[in-house]
Amino acid sequence: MSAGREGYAVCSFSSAGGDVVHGHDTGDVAAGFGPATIVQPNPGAFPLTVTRNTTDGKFRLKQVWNQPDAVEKDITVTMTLKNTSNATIGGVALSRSGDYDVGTSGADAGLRTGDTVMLWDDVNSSADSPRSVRG
Amino acid sequence: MTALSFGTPHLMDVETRFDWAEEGTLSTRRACYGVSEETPTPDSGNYAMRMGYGFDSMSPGASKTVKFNIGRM
Repeated sequence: MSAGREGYAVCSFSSAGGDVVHGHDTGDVAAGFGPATIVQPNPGAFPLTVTRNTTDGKFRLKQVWNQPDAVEKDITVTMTLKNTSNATIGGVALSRSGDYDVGTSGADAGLRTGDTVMLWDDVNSSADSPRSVRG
Repeated sequence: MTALSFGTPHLMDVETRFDWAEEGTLSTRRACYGVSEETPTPDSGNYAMRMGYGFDSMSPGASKTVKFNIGRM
């Protein structure tokens, strides 16, 4: 994945106010979040907790990056969103997104199910195939 | 990416890099919802992916916790 191309957004919706993006940060594009407070009990090791408030005073977002699983090759991020305002907020949504560019090129194939979304290199695609081996 | 908080409404999206990273304020990376592409994608291209949870209404002081699993196959 290219640097600075993954992150998160916090949004809400109301019939009066429409869609509101309270904060987003995907690295090189970000707005609406204040500075991060980072807690890492063991320096250089997981878990890593990152907490940020939206600058509009509506939300606090805490992310806990747990120990990566070397066998499963995955990591779980636990995200807690708190309404820090004094009013009910409707249609709240939290997302993570990224331009992962898996493999050796920017070209990927994509698939989604009800619970999973993935990008991968399709070796049958001319845009994605590995270099040919010539004898 | 996989949603581990199955009891909370969630959505998955594959979207084009153009929609996700378009210059200006219209890029979906600045928001919680993308422009969905049909999947499986018909061919390889420059795609982004997204996973989101919907919490409906949150009262003052309320909090919601969800889990995202990010992995390499």
